[in-house]
Order: sequence, then structure tokens, then C-alpha cells
Amino acid sequence: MSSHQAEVFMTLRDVRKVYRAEAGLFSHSQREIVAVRSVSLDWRRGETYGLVGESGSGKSTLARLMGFLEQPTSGTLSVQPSERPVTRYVFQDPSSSMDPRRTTAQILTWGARYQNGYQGPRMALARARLLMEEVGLNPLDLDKRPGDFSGGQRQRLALARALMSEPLTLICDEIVSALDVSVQGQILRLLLDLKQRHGLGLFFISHDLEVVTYLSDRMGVMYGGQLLEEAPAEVWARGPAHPYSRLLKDPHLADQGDNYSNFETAQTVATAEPRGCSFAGRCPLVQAKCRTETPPWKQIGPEHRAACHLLS
Amino acid sequence: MNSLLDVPNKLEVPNKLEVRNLSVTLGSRNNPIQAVRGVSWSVSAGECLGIIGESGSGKSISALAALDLLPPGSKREGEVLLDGEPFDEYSPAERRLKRAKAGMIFQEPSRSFDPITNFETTFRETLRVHNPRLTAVEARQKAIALWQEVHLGQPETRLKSYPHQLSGGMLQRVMIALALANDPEVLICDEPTTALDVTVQRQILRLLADLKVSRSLALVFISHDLAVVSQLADRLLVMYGGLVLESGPVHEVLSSPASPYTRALWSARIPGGSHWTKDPLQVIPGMPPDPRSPLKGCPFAPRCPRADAACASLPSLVGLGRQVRCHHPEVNNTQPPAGRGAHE
Repeated sequence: MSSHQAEVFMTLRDVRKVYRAEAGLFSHSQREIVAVRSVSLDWRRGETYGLVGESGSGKSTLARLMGFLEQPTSGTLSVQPSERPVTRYVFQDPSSSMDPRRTTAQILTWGARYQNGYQGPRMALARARLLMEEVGLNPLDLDKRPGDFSGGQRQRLALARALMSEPLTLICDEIVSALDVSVQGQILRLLLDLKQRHGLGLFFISHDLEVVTYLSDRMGVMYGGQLLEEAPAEVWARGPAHPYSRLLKDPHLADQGDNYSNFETAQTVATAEPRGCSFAGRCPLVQAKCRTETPPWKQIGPEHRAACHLLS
Repeated sequence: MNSLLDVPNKLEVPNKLEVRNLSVTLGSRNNPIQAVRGVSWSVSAGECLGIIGESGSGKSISALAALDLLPPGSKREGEVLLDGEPFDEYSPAERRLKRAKAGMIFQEPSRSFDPITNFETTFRETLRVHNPRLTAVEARQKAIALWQEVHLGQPETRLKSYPHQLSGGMLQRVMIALALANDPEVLICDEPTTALDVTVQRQILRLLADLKVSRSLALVFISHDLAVVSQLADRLLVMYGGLVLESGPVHEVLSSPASPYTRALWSARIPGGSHWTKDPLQVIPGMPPDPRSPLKGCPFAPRCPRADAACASLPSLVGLGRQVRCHHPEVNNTQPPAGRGAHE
């Protein structure tokens, strides 16, 4: 279901995010952590874009930039003008992203008053009731608090909250990782229902390849703050091109190659100005220039590109 | 492959760790939680028992109870046999020594180490619990050997480092090395790879599989992830609501699950690589049971497609080697389950 013709809705060009490491009160350290090195991507209207990567790869930072929760250090992030709010962010752990003292009704309607075209508390509450039903919760539970719900129900509530302002897209950061296996499927199915009913675009982040390849139209692979490969999800699942993607797709490779199993050089946070390919330290095919030159994008197939010196 | 009730077999391969009819009650007297409700399992040398279940199924608690590591205030019933000897007959001091026969590793290695103690000291302390006369030099040599056994490089320099200096995967290796320090015969792994990245997870599984053979360890592997467990386990125990719903050799249980819960879990795997518009998602309806208010009948009944009036009473666990607790088990089923994706 790739959306070839769909217009681009959000554009990122050379987006970069650097954090200053907090080194304590009396420290003179000026350590910088480059969380996102230089990412360019297009997110199309109504598209589900999946992002995979291991912890520390910068995928959550990228999502926070796209959700306007952070400002990029450099680079541009532009959005097409629209009547509806651009995006809402759904967090991994619903129990820590909701005020435990507020009732469900307050949680849902709190943000509404800051929206354009706010029509008063009664309308907001009516919409809250509607959304509760839509996400499979009982509207009579509007006076309950987050603690009264199970993890799966809280994630339903988080989705309802995100939809209160009728956004064009949702950014879902590991939204099923904290849930029980038997509940994960329910939330994913709900997400797909909501996507179809509201025409939502999704930016879906997970470390779980099965989930990402199943849900996404297109997907990207991140490592060490760099986007290394981008492809339609089905194409990627059949044949990833980048050496890192191949390792991710088939961890058995780690059993054979010496370099792949080299856990000593496992992903480290880039603190200095990073150069070359972020995967060079673990790559079994590494060459001298991988460590010094940033790999260029190579076109592998339609809509399929990878950043690697060794691909032709 | 020895099972609980296979008496002749049991004599040939003695169980390293066995629990019989184990029940655990947690919490206060006013608000007791029956976390485990009569669970029996055993594991012998060179074998891996996989215990699978969701949160609140009692899978971790049953393992903690086997090693006498329950939080204070909890109550355990049933028998634990370590190397064929009943654990309860020992005094607390003796139990502490006997427990050296079993090691345990936990989900989050970063939380299991003292952040201000370097690894050399940690290893020395652990080694001295059972060998108080050990000199610092001997302890260091032993620690280096252990580090090499779990394939951690540069032990001479790294032993001086602190937990925050190692990555999650490396810490989990140190954790395994530490668990092996006093030459245990049983190793209990409670979700050892859940907090790790996919590529690292694979390496840890590989290491555990190697150790199982090289040390002929009796391995108990606890996880919520069927795909992970199936890579390592020889036998599988499926827990739900504090009870065993199914058990047996791993390939048999997965290729023809008898319990509707096992089948549902296996079919509900996400069909990765296929797009959602082509392949609808199999979903288990309902919620996992609340251990605070257990049902009288089968705990899976409210979510089960095969449930009927009979399920209001608790079915008993029947079978030899291959056990199932269900009033309506799936029988004569040689077809692979409806789930997609190859089982590795």
C-alpha cells in the first residue's frame, strides 16, 4: 500500500539535534551528544512511516523533533499548512504520561481549551464521550482516574486523548512495548481502525521489526543518529540492503561473522563530532573510507535507498 | 526428555531442580494475592525448561519461590527439591549454602549491580561467600577465567571498571559470569534478554545455549516472548493466572498446541513482513486475569473461543510428558497452528 502519488506532508532536511551533556555543577565539561546527525526524509499525507533502530539510535529524538516537542539544532523541518493540528504524540508508557490525580474527563478535555475553535466544556465533554466509545472504553468511566485502568486501557485512553483535537497524524513511540503480548494486538488493531476512520498518518517507532514491517507503508532504519536505509516495508522485509539492516533482520548473522559479534564495539553515543558511517565500528565489511567519509545515498530500487559506501 | 511423572526416566536423569505443587501467596493478610496456585515442574542437567506467561501469570514468582528468594511476608506451600533433596528440611544458614547450586540472572542487569563497587570486588565477595579463605589474587584469577568463559574481552583491565561503563549486553554477560562463580548446577534466567537490543539479545541466547552444553547446566528460561523461548528451550511450560495450562516438548507444544491459550498466543504473533491490509491481525480479546480476584474456573475462560458452561469449574492438569489443563483441549491436531511465520 505504498502511497506513490500522495503529497509530501512533512519534510526534514539535514535535521540535527545536539544535546549538551549535563556534567554536574562544578564541571567545566562541554561534552556534546549528537543524538540525530543529519536526517532528511519526507513523510507523506496519510502514510504510515515506520522507524526501527536499537536503543540510542536517535529514533525517539527524531520523533520528538517531528512532534515539535524539541527544536532541531540545525536543519529544517517544514510542514504543509493545514486546518487541523499537524500531529499528536503518543508515549510509550501511558501510566507516566497522565496525571494520576486527574479524572479521565479532565485528561481528555484539558488540552481542548487551547485549541482553535474551542466550543466550550460541554462540547469537549461530548467529544470525549464519543472518543471513549471509539477506543473501546466505557463513557461512564469518565470520572475514573488513570490508576483505575489496566495498562492496555490506559493506552486506549492515550489514543483518545491524542485524537481529541482531530490531528492529521499521530506519532507513536513504542506504544505497545510496555503491554502484555495478548494486549499488544488489541491496541495495534485499534490503531489501524482509528487510522482508517480518521484518515490518520502514522509515524510508528519500535524496536520490534515484526510490528514495524506489518504496520508501515514505508520504513527507515536508524543507527547512531543516522538514517541508513529507507524502503517500502514489504520490500525491506524481503531484502534489506544495508549491512546493518541485514544484521537487524537476521540476527543469526551475528553467530558467524567475527565483526558482527563484536559486542565490544557495540553502539556508543557519539560525543565528539562524528565522522563517517555510524555503523563502521561493527560492520563486517568496513573499509577505510567508511570511518572518515559520510556514506552517500544509493538508489537500490523504486523508493528504496541506502547509505553505504559498499553498495553500488 | 524426562517428565514429572515418568518415574523410570527420572531415576536415570535426576532432576536438578524440582518444584511440586507449589503455591505462593503474596501481600498482606488482609489483601492476599494468590500468585501461584499449585505448579509443578522440574529441570535436569543439560536441559532448558522455558516458562512462558504474561505479567501476573506467576512465572517469575514460581522461580523465585524455588530458590527461597520470595519477598518477606509471602507464604510458600509445596515442595522444592534441589538435586533431589528437599530444600525445606535445612536451616536458613544451610539453605544459603545449598542455594549456591542454583544461580539466577535478572531482566535488568544495570539494576542488579552495586553502582559504586567495581567488578573485581563484586566477584571477590561472591566467590568468598562459599570459599572464605580465597585470597584476592586467587579470586582475581577465577574472575578472569569466568569473564573469558562468557566471551568478555580484556578481563584484566575491565575487571577494574564499574557497571555504568559497560553496555547492557556486556553487563548481562557479567551477570551470567557472576551467576556461574560458584559453579551452580541450575541457572534460572528471568527475562534475561527483554531489556536488550535485538542483535545483542541473539548473542546472549547463543551464550546461554553454549553454557547449557559446556557446563551441562539445568536452565530455567522465563520469558513473555514465545519466539525467544522457542529458540532455547527443550520443554515449555505455559502459565496463565498462576496455573500451568500446558507443558511439553517445545516443538510439540508449538506445532500442535492443545490449550486454546497457547494456540491463541502463537497465532497472535504479528505477521511481520506482510502488510496489514493483506493479512488481518489475530487478536486475543479481553484482559489478562487479575491475580487479586482469581476465577473459580479456568482462568482463560473469559477470553477463550472454546469456553462453555463446563469451564466454570477448574480443569485439572492431565497427561504424561505432554500436559494440558483444559476441558476442551484441541486433540488429534497435527496441523501447524494458524499463525504465520516460520518457527526457528
